Amino acid sequence: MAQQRSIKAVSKKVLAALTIAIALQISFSLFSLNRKNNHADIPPPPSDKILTLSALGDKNFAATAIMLWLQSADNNTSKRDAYSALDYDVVQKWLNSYQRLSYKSSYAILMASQIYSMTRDDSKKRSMLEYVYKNFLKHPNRYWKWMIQSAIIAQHRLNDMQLALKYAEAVRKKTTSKTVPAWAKQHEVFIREDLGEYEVAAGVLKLLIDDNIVRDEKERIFLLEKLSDLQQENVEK
Amino acid sequence: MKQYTTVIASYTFIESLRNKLIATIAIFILISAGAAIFAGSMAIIEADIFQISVLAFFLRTGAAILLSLMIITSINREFNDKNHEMILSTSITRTSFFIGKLGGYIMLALLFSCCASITMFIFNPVATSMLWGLALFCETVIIASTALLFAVIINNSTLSIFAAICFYMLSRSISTIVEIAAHSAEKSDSLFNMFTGYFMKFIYLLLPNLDSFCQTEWLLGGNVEKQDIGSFAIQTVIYSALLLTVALFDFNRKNI
Repeated sequence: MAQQRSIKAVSKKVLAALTIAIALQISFSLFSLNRKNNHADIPPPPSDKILTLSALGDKNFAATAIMLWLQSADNNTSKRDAYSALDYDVVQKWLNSYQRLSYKSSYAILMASQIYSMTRDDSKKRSMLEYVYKNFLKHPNRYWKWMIQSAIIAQHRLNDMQLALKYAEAVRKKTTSKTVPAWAKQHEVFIREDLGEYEVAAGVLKLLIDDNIVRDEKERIFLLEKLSDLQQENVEK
Repeated sequence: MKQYTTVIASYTFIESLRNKLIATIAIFILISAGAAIFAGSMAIIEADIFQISVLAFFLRTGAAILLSLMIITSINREFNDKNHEMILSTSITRTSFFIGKLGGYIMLALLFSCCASITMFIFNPVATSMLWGLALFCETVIIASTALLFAVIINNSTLSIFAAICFYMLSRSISTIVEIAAHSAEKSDSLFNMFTGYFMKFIYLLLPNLDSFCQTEWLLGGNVEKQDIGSFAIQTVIYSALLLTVALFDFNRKNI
């Protein structure tokens, strides 16, 4: 014998009530969702201890949850430039919390250099690039990629060559690891060339060639040709 | 006594298996792995870190909660059906019956930990996943003992589940709570803050420090000290023995 009776056994009133209840629930949820989407305010982060506590003592899970939530914060706005609606000071505090809880991860720096720097608001863009710079100074061998990315953003999006030069120079001077590729250290040379500082660019390039950071012979030949070009440009200037 | 204990332990485990245990574990693992893959897909870089953090949290917390629910509902059903009265009317002693029950639930904890470790193999090297699984086993043994204790003492499903989950949450967060309380006590001279600080330290002494047990850090390239696993094993034996004696004390006093 079947354990349940057929659906036909249910009275029409009950079925109608069930349909109405489901429709009401979905409508209410849709309304709540639209209401939530109209603001992008994110509160300042609580202390690391409270964050750890909320993840039952699991710091890594707390960090993951923070980042997933923070990533979704820019979706919670109907504004065209979602990032402009965010308070970047608060965002940086959350990124700091993430870094302290998941200290081996580079995710926060990636978010700062590649995601939050995409805002149309130049002052916010600058503040995020500075955030990357400050963190780069603490761990140059770890964050050089994001620093180079910041230099490119400063050069092409902010059109601030001096800022780009500051970041690229920092990569050359501060990084010590052999895992940092030669092209990252050479970036300063190309910015100086664009600025018309041929003599300094040639000096920096000569320094890099003498330091033997370039292992590939073809790249070495290319750099030597570049050095010769820069010296030529300087003479013509 | 040993023979009775083994029989009760094996029947307790068989009862759990027949109670849709395999299906429950399969659903639990699918949900955990699904949540982990979802979190990984949200990440721009370091997707593996996101996946492992979420998977470890879900498996660990889920195993503890599911195990508690299974044990408490099983014991309450047994007490309501008066099965224990029938068993104890034979030559089986209360102690044999109780140790047998705990043995069965420890086997259940082992099954949960093995399934969680095997799931972790997909995302992580086998060696660290096994160590993590070993620590999870220690944690789930403590949880099984606690659930059994609350089920016997309280003898009410809702309250026992509530107590077991509160115990688990407190044990996982007590270190952080003690730090917060100590910080507050340092900042102000209020008598209340001082009292709270000492009270929390006292609670800390009574609870197992579960937050140090199976750390996600190990799965993310952190060092696992062999002494750590040893100290977890010792802590598990001491704490389970403590819970067992408390439960036996209460069980022996019950009018059955």
